[in-house]
Amino acid sequence: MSSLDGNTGSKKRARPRNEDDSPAPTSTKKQRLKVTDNNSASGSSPKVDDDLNPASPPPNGDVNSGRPARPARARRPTQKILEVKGSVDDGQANLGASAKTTQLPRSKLQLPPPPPRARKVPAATGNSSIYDVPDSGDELSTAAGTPVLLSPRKKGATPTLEAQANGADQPVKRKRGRPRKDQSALLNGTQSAAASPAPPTSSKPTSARRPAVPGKGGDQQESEEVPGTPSRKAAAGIRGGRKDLVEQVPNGILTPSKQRAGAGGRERKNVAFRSSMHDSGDNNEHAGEVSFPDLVPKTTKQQPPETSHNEGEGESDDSSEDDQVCAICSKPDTKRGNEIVFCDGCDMAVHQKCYNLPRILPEGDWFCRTCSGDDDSNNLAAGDQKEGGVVVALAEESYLDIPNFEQHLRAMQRVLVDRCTGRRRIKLRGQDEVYEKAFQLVEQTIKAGEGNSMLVIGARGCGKTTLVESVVSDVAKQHKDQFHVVRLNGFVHTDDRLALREIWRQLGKEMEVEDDLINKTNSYADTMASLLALLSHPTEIGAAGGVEQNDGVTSKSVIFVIDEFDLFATHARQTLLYNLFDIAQAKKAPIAVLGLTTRIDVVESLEKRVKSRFSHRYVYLGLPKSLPGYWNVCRQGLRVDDGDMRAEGIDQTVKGHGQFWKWWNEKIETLRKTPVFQDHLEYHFYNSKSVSAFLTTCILPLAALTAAAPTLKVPSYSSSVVPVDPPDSKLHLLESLSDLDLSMLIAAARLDIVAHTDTVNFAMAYDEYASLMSRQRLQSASAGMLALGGGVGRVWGRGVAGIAWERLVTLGLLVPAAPGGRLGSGGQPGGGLDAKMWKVDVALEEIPGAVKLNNVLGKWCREI
Amino acid sequence: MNNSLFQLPNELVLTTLAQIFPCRDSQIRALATLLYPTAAPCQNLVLYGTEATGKTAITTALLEALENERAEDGPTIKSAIVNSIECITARHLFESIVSKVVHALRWESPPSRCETISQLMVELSKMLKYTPRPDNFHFVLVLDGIDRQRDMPATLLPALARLSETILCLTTVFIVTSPPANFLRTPFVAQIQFPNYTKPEFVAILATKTPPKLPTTTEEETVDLWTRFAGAVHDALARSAARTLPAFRHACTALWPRFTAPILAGTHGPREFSKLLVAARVHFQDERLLDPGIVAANTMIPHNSKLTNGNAEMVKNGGSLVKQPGTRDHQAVGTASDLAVLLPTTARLLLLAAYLASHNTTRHDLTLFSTHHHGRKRRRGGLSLGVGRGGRRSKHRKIARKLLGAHAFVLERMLAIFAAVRREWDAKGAAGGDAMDSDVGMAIATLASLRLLVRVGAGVAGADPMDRGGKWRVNIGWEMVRGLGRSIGVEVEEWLIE
Repeated sequence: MSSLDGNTGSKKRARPRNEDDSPAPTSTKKQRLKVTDNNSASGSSPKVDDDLNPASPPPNGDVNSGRPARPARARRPTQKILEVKGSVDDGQANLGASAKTTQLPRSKLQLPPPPPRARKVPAATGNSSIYDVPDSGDELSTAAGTPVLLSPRKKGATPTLEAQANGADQPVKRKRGRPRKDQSALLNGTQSAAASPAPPTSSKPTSARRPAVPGKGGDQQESEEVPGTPSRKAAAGIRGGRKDLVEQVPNGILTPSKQRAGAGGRERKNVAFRSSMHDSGDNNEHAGEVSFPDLVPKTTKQQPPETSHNEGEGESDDSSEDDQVCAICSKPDTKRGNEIVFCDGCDMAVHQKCYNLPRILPEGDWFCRTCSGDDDSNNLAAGDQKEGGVVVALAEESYLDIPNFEQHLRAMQRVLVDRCTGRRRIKLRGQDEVYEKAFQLVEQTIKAGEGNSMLVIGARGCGKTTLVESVVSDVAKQHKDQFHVVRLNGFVHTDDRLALREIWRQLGKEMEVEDDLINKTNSYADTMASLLALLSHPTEIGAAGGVEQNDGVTSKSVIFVIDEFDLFATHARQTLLYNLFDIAQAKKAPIAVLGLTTRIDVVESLEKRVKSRFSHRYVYLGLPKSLPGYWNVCRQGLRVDDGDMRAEGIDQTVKGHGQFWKWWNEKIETLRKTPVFQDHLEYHFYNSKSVSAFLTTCILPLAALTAAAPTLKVPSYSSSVVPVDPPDSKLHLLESLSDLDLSMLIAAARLDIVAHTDTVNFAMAYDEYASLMSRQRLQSASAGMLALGGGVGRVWGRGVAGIAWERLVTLGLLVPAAPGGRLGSGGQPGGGLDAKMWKVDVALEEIPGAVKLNNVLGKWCREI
Repeated sequence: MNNSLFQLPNELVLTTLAQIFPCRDSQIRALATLLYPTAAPCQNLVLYGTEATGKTAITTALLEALENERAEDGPTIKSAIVNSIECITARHLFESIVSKVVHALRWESPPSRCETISQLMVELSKMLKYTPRPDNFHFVLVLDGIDRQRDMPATLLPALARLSETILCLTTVFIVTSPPANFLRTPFVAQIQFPNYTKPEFVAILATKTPPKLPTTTEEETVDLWTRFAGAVHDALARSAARTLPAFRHACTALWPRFTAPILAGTHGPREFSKLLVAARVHFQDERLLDPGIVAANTMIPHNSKLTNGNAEMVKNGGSLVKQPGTRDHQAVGTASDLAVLLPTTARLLLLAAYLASHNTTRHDLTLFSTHHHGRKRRRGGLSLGVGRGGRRSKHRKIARKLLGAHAFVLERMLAIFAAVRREWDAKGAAGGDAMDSDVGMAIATLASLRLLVRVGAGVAGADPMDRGGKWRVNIGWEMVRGLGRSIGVEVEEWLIE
């Protein structure tokens, strides 16, 4: 730090900047976030980033000083110039006050159109420093900046480069290096020392840059240098003299333009233009005008992109600035082992520690988790799930403002995950009428002592149980302790005896007592009546044996919820249903029978005597009829409405509550508008309309949210996330088969068509396999392919093929033909394998679609 | 509902597990998330995938780790794992479930019996629902291989899936091979797939356990060689014929000594991978690696005479690791020669006659065996593999009768055939002499007791074996018969008519 010249001055400046900047960047980012929120719908993170960069600057500018600041900044950008000059002319450049102004301006400067460039420039330095060997620091960055193909990181590694860099950095550093305190500090010393003597060495790095830099860039630099110390000029000259110059001229013209074009979307063009204009200006009037200096930063920016082109990594490096801050902690500071890393895919900047990266980064491109998910990650080491989902909303830092953010997030996760897993009930939507009907019926039973029966009919997952349960719980609010609920399920209570026992048990009786009653096979009605009568006199419950019928004395109603009602209709004589309906109709006791079923024709399966006692009240629950309606239901799995906060036990008094939910709901709405999410939603809507299916897919993404990455990812089908969807068919098994298994399967499936038989045995399949193989070998031999040992080159023997065959059987791809069929070698172990007939459960034409076949097998599937 | 905050399971547990079970990181994480009480415990969960993909092992290990990892006032998780393959009937399954749960909870008064699913639900409710439990208590019931449950009523699976509807702190995990669509009859269940490993994963898994260093190489070289070797084995054997981890591992361990023999002998260095590969090519082509029969293990020793006994033994032992259904063929091949030697001529002739009776239709008998016209005509047969099909390709192909397996025939017919051919065949055969009727009876009895001839049809048990109207079937394959025929100088193929 304390080193010498203007260089030090510049360095000092840099530092103050950092300090100042650190707060500034956050604000900018937040603003960005807001801005982006709207834009981010597009979903592509990189774009957003780009947008952000330009967008962010303005806020800073406004915040800091607005217009006035600009001029100062303008200098800043030119920093190189300024600094150089500073050292010469402005030694005054005023380490202190001027420095501050300059610092502020920097950020400001960046704000206006130039800002992007400015940022990029510093970013380049920053990046380079990050990636490179720490010592090499800025200079490395410069080196990186050089057109040379090497990426900054790689370059950093080489000591020679470093050395050069050190020497050369002086100019560069001033421009970029500031942000990195450590490195800059270290470097500064070396640089400053080296600067004056080292020009030649330094020249190398600079020269390296130049070649890559387009004409403009080169000009600018030169111009800058010109203003700067003569030594630099000399250095430049030297550079030119060296190979670089030679290369530069041709390359410089051609490459830059290409690169820019290739670089795509960003605003380089503008930069370029301006820079060119500025260049001329700079050359002529470098020091005097602040505005021109802006150009300088541009040039620097340009340089980095070019370099980046070379390796494709450069961009990320470049884009980050000195004041680029970590996306997670939003601090710009870096240390060795905890530096800011830029994703090569989306330019996201994070600290190594904040992002849980190993201290030492592998060389080469680094991608953030978002990008790497698609990319085939190298960073499995990072140890977190590769969620290949598409980032719907870009990681935005605005949430950092929210107090108690983590607490809010986790409380929310609790609620939403519980809803998605079905542990909390979600509300019915658009079924008010149905609900009203059911509610009324239950209420009447309880209040007026009526006997009622009703069927609730609807597809699986449409909310029958939800309906009934919410009715019951709502009724319970008003009439607590005035009724009992008995829940039966056709799957569990597979006959009337069991069902009755269960009713008895649920009504508070011990099972042993009830055994006696069961034995009286004819006494179902009596039992029922006595049960209900008992309920009316709680005092009698103690005397369990007492089966006195006190008709009409009932005070408590019983709600029977019968799930899978249609299965009860299959029980012998439908005794239970008969009695229940009879009691309900005859008003022996106030009971309500709610039958839940998926079969719309369930009434047809009732016996006449049962049917006649049924009240023929139905309620039909439909699935959502439109996509918005579907979303309206599904939405509950992703957000909590204000009205439900209390019910869900969310403490609304915690600070930041409103903010958090506003932020989250906005995020979900944004998410909803992204095409990926819509695809996902539509997939479920058009496939099944099952709400729970959709919600289930949300569980893992919701569970994966953390305070560091509170962005919901949509599980997309191409991604590497573990999907929770069921497989479509058995075809997924094909992927795990070996070539021989597949060959046998294909051979068997071919026989289906070729020999027109629907059953095959192992002997037939193996014969087909062998003949196919021999033909294949013949062909490949004639084509001279045998030597290459193409895919299925080897004919396996019967034994191994037999193993494969049995594997197919185990996996269920072969199902036994009619049990003990014509040849059924029933119990004989000997005749088993060869002769037993099987059906192939996969059609020949399905196979190529389910698994990637090699050429030979593919041909077997195609050519009959 | 408890309102505790959302909390994922301890990262340390997951990382440790991921190291034990490489290449299953995402599954482990998803599973842990969906089971952990404070994360996202589902009601039901389905794990599916082919064999040897770590479904059971990972579930077991994960549950164990989660049970042991006990933070104060942290969530408690208990589990019971029931292997339904060990349960013969549904009732057996229910009772094992109950006993496992009782064991896991250290419940004092185990119920005496549990016959139905509804009783099961009651018992589980008693233990899990009606007993007060801490807020974060969660129970996981794992039903391993439930799709292979025997005598399973249709309502069993849906009913099991409804246990957790009643008992809220329960998660039921179903481990299956391939779940049929909507087999639980619930709206939707989270299903996690355990896909088979890919080649890099196979190699990576194998690389976690390297064999002991070879005396002539360094540790590093051994590891390096092992990895490359595993890759080669995968390409040669696993990928093409046995794509499961146990089979692959077995092939590797069995091949390794032979593969490295040249290194031990000093012929090649550990770096000369391709040379080693060429040297070991024979072994790579040995199918017995994948299909080690009982007999094969013996025949292997002369084949690998160069090897030490230890190696052969390893191969033998390894053989038991791989399930090997195809044993019969090996036995057939191994014993075919023996049969020809062991059986007396009459029995051999009878066996051939039985084969012809099983594989020729009755209507061809006249053509084949009649001596009516000129001495002998007949035999237009002669089926041969894969020949003569070309012309008919466009139409439906006819399947060789012999591939369809043996048909049943009436004993009378076999004896008639035997009578027709015995003179001719016997004349050719070395051993001769007219067989007496008693010989025939005894030969049939011998063949039946050896199960080379099998009585089929109703009343097999009590019927008179010599009843000429009884139905029989030959129980040996084509290869054996051909060998048998040649032993007495008959080409059986000529006597078969398509």
